[in-house]
Amino acid sequence: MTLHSPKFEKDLCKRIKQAIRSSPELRREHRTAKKYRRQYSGTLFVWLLIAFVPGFLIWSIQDIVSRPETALALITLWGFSLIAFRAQSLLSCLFSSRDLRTFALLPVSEQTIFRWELQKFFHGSLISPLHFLGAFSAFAWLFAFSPLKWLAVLPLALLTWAVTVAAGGFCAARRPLFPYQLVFTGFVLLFFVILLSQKFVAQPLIALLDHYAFGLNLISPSGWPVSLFQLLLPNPRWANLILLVPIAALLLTFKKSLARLSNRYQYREQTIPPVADLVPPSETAEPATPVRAGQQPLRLGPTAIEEVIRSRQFLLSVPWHNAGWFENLLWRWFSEREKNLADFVFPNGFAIGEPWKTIFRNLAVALFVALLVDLISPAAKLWVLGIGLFITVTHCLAQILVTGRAFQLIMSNGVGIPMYAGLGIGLRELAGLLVKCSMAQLPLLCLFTVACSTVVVWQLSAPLELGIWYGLKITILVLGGRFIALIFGFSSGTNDTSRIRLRTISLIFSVIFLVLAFIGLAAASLLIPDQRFALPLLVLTLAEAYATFRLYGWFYHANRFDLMRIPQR
Amino acid sequence: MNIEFRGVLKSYGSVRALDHVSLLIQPGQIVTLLGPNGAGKTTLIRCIAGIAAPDKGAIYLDDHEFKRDRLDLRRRMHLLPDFPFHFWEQSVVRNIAIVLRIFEADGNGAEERVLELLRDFDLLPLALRPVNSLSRGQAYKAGLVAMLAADREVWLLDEPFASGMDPHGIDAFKRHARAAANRGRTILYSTQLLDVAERFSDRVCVIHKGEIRAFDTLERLRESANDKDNVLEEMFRQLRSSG
Repeated sequence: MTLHSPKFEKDLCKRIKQAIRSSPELRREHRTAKKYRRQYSGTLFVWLLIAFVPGFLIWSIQDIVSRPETALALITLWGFSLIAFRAQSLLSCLFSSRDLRTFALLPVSEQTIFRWELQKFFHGSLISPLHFLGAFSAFAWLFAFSPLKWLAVLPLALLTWAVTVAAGGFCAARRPLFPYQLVFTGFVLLFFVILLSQKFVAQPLIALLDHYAFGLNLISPSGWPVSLFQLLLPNPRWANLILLVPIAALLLTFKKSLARLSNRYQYREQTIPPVADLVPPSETAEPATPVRAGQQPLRLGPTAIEEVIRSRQFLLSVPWHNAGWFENLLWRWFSEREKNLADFVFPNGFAIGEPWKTIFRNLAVALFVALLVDLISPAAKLWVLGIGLFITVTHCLAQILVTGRAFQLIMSNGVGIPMYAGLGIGLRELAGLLVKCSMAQLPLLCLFTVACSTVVVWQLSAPLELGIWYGLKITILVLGGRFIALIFGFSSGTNDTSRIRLRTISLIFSVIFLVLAFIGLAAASLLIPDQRFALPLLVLTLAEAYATFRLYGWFYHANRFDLMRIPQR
Repeated sequence: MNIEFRGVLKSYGSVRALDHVSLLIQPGQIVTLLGPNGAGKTTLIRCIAGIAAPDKGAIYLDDHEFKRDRLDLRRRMHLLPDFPFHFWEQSVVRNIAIVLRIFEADGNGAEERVLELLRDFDLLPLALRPVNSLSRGQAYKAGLVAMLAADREVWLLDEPFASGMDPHGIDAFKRHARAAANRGRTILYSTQLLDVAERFSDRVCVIHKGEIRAFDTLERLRESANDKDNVLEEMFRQLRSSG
């Protein structure tokens, strides 16, 4: 069975056009409909813009890079982030695509759906060669390549793309639960920071990259085809040719990865048991003997349900606030209204203590393993430490910038409406609740950032008190970041950027400008060594983030956009 | 609550979903929104709920201009779209409880109200089941029970009669809505079912290509119609022929 029949569609279109031509009324309707179709989607433009970032990055940092390997390592890192992105988009295409619900109702085999979704994934990934083409072209331009060498640029860009797709497939098939989206977002932010804050951020980072460029290009799969590009540069390292072996091996795994994903690709109807916490304690305590396999489970009759309702038990929120000291503190801090909203934002409760225990445990494990590895190889220690810090920082950010179900969209009449908007919940009250959730975790965040930055300064052999300063500053900056993250959270459920008109442009430009100013101020307050200047800058950064949020709030309250996400056509 | 549209214009691209709509809906009425597909019915409901933002003009609620920061006004309304706002993995009563708490309607007597409504809509045996294990009609009924239990001043319903509810549920909804209108609540709903609109409305608002073509009681509309038995059908025929 095929999902797409070009011949059928062509014939149908022909017949429709004939019918429209024959009727003046239909012609009129058709003209209106055509106008409606003529929409401008900014997504493709943004993707094209992003595709040229690596090339621009190479071109813009040429002055501070001492060796071409370092710039190549930057492309490797970009490729690495694309691997994470590809893994995430493959999983999204296959398992959470919107058309899956429709397919579930049609007599279509799972393998056909799999092929269809895979095709969509490939179409989506076709823009990636541009990323590498841009980066390699920037190199070719800087090193004044001969026409013969220019010929090798396109095949190498395509090979790098193929490697990222294969590696993405490998990751998606073997580690489907890994937070790839976060990895990708983290890298994109890093690249933008490098671009925008060359003096403060790019220079120390490039220096670090310069040190480990060779190893990075060798270890990361995205670095293998990039290392082949090195053969086109002056002083080629011909031993790099051996990397063709792992490249071929990785490309060969793609078929197996797809087979693995395909084997798991089965539609399963979700069956969720009744919510246990609503059953009155007397009812749950009664059946002393556990339910054995094959035995019918206890079913609640209307009388028991009536009791749950009559006793007002159903109106009680999930008792997550009893789970720990921090949860209790947060609960007591909430106003009555916020307690009600918390029930909506966290219908399954909100945990603070347990996730932070995991974060600190992971950090301790990473430190311990790094110290052990240090006995064998000091270079490997840095890798272990870097990966450990990356994972724990990602987890920490996810915990501190928590949004729960606040911005969940519900599809209605073809548009996604955020639930909070449908239920008449305001921007300020929802934002206030989420900020309180973050602020209640500040002591833990502070402890974590101080620990992490102390480890980093210890590695750099800098004074330890510097680590404490950095930790405290980063804590404040993350709090500022909370306001920026809120803007993106609210924006995710609106059409605030979807149409080219004055109000949209003014909103986009002012928010982009203020977010960039936030990044710049944050970098400056972090990197200026004199605390007399750094501390006022830090306060200014926090105030600036709050002002940015208030500005977005003004646009929101002035009805400058709709609270619904209109899917792209 | 008085709902007044003053020259409201709302466009999606080059399509005008609402074209300078001026309208006054008084409290204690059941108002039916009628119109062909894409006429602007849902947009009108979304504008009142604060989800769609008018490009021009303004909406006044009890003579106060409605902006999104007027939470006091927003909480006096309840929107029930074609697919209700549910946490689908949570139970029916939990979803109802969340809505009641958001609208601060969980005071004394809420439990009896919920119990009675669950019984009326045949949902009592399903009350502890997750919403995603229910049929579409049952899930809609769960949203409806939450709306009726919260009992706001303005009920906004998008196609409630095309929601998969069984005849008993439809009947229960009509009874509760009529009683609510008698208490002074305003019920605004959209539908494509002309016979339902004829029997279950105090006023009919016919909308076509974003323009209000008629807004009156059925009796008044009958007076001016040629085919007095099928006044709405005739109106739809005229809309089609006028283009």
